[in-house]
Order: sequence, then C-alpha cells, then structure tokens
Amino acid sequence: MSEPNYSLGSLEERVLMAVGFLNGEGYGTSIRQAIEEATGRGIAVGALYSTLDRLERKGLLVSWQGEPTPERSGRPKRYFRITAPGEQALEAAEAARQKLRVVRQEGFSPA
Amino acid sequence: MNKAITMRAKKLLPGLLRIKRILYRRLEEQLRSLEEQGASLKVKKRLRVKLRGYRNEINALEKVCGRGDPPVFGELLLLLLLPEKNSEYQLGDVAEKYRKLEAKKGSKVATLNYYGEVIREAWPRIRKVLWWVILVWLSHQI
Repeated sequence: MSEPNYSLGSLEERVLMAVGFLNGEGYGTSIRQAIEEATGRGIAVGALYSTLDRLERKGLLVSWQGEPTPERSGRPKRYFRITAPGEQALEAAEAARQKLRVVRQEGFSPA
Repeated sequence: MNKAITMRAKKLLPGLLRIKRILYRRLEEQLRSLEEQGASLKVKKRLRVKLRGYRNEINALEKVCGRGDPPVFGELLLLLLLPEKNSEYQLGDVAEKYRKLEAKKGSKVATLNYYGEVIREAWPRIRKVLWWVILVWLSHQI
C-alpha cells in the first residue's frame, strides 16, 4: 500500500474538516452548507466534488452511495466519511499551523 | 439484485413524470380545441376519462419524485457543464437546494438561485473565453 499523502491545500483542508465534523452524515449539500456557515463563503458544486474525489484518491476519505430520494428528483446521495489517514492529515495541518504561529511570535532566525 | 433493479427503476421515475406531464398538457390542449370545434359529448367524455387517468398517474409519481421540478434548461446546462462521473450526485444536490429554497422563499428565488449555480459552474469557462476575446482584441489594436 502506498504512503498516504498528508499535504493539504486550503480548500482540501476545509472540505476534510467539514466531512470530519459531519461524522459519516456528510454528502454534497450538507458539506457545502457546513463550509458556507463556517467560512461565510460558498463553494461551487463542481469544485466541491473534484476536491472530494482528490481526497478520496489520496485515501483521506471514503464514499458510498445512498438511496435516491424524492426531494433530489430521484437522484442518489453520495456520503463521505473521513478515514484514519484523513484525521492524521488534519492533525498534521494543525501542527504545521501551530509551528508557524510559534515562529511568528518568537521571530524567525535563519540558521 | 432486486435492490439494484429497484434503484435503476427509481432513476427512471423523474423522466417518466416529465413525459406524463407533457402528455397531460397535450391532451388538455386537444380537449380545449375539441370544445371550440363543438365536438360530440362522447368524444369529449372519452378524453376527460383519459385526462383523469393521467392526473392520477402524475399524482402518484409526484408522491415519489416530488412536486416542484428545477428549471429544465438550467438542468440541461448543468448536465453539459458538470463532469459525467459525479453529475447524478451534483444534480441531486442542486435539486435538493432548489426544493428547500422553493418551500422557504418561493419558486422565483429558487429558480434565480439555480441559475446562479449554473453561472458559478460556468464561470471558469466564461472567464477563459473573455480573456481570449480581450487578447484577440488587443492584438488587433496593436
């Protein structure tokens, strides 16, 4: 098995956080809503799904198809759940941010 | 196996509903024109029975598929713009948002929002075309 890719872009990080927060109940609409509520900025549906696909390819998410529902014109939902490497990637991103915060407070001294 | 067949059949229902609605509208027009022409009572009665049958079928289908449909032209545009792989899920997401907005703020706001989604999806391509137009225009100016 290949080593998981922990490097995340800012949109990837936001999407991964939203999926993690929704805890297995996340699908397109709910993820978009969570991101919009948290950041105040919307995200195009195409951009969201390409990001979700990318994260799934990296092994940070898993997806499965739900039942078609009447309010979706009989179209199915695609649910997403964060994986253990996904959690680790979020932790790594948070740790990197913490380090940068420390550097900003203490000042950068090149060796 | 049975579940897969049911899922496939459920996917066909929205299309079937649309066809039934078109047929219903055509039959209605036919009845109206027959009334204007002064057709016999027997013919009109037969058409009315047929119309009632269609209405019942439409009502039953609407119970499964939902009532207010998103704009057909907008849906077609989205279908052309979105990659085929996820188009079913994405169209479902936009349709769900449309129905929620329709229930809250009415169909005009929901339709405007739907076309907003279409423009949002098309914007990267529009921007690319605009840049090319500007570049060509500039090259002609120099």
